Amino acid sequence: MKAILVAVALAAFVAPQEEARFATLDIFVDAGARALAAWQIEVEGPAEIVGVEGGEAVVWREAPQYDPEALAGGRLIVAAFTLEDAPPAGTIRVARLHVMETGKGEYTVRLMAAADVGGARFRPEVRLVRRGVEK
Amino acid sequence: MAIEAMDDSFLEGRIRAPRVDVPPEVDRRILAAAAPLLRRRPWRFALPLAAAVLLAVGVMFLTRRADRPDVVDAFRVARMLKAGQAVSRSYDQTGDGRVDERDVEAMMRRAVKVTR
Repeated sequence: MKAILVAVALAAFVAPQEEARFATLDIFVDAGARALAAWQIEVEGPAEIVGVEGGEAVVWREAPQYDPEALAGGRLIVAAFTLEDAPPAGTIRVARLHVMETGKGEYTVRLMAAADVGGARFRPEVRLVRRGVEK
Repeated sequence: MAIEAMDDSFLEGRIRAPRVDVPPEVDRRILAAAAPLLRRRPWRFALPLAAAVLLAVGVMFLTRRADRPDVVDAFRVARMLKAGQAVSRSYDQTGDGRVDERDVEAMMRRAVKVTR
């Protein structure tokens, strides 16, 4: 009996824990024909955010603004604006998040605010693409 | 005299109210007079109270949202500063009596602040 109990306890102890996975989340904004000058997006998911990078276009290359205290909480708001005269239109990757996934679940992405180069608010499409899973 | 030894029998009939028999007719009349009050539902205030609480919470929520700048507000102020235009003092986030880049930075910090 003792042997069985010890075996069960050992099995529980050495049972593989759910491994943390590392991935990247690319945030895209499709501004259509309008030149995107400001954007604010909320991302939520089963992950701890371990890094925030800028996007691909020169004007969005710097890391966007975010709340460092929120990185571990699974919900982050990122935002940036540019004072360039002619920022790009169309579909643009505006940021990349590096995450350590600690659970299962879906990511959600929500546009909070955006403006074109003239300062007018509009509602472009936003999209999140999960890539580059590493172990 | 020890306290334990005190006898309170002398209070009998003085602090205990004597029984009074109420005639049935008086009973009926009192109950009839009280009937409208008894019919009133004690929860009649629940609905207005719930509505008032909801209204107060809604006003607080909207006020809080309205107070919080977003990236577009910061962008517009930054554009005006860049163009050398006058900016409303209502954008003075730092409380130093003027609006400058530090206020734009403060607006951005507030815009991305995650509240639990």
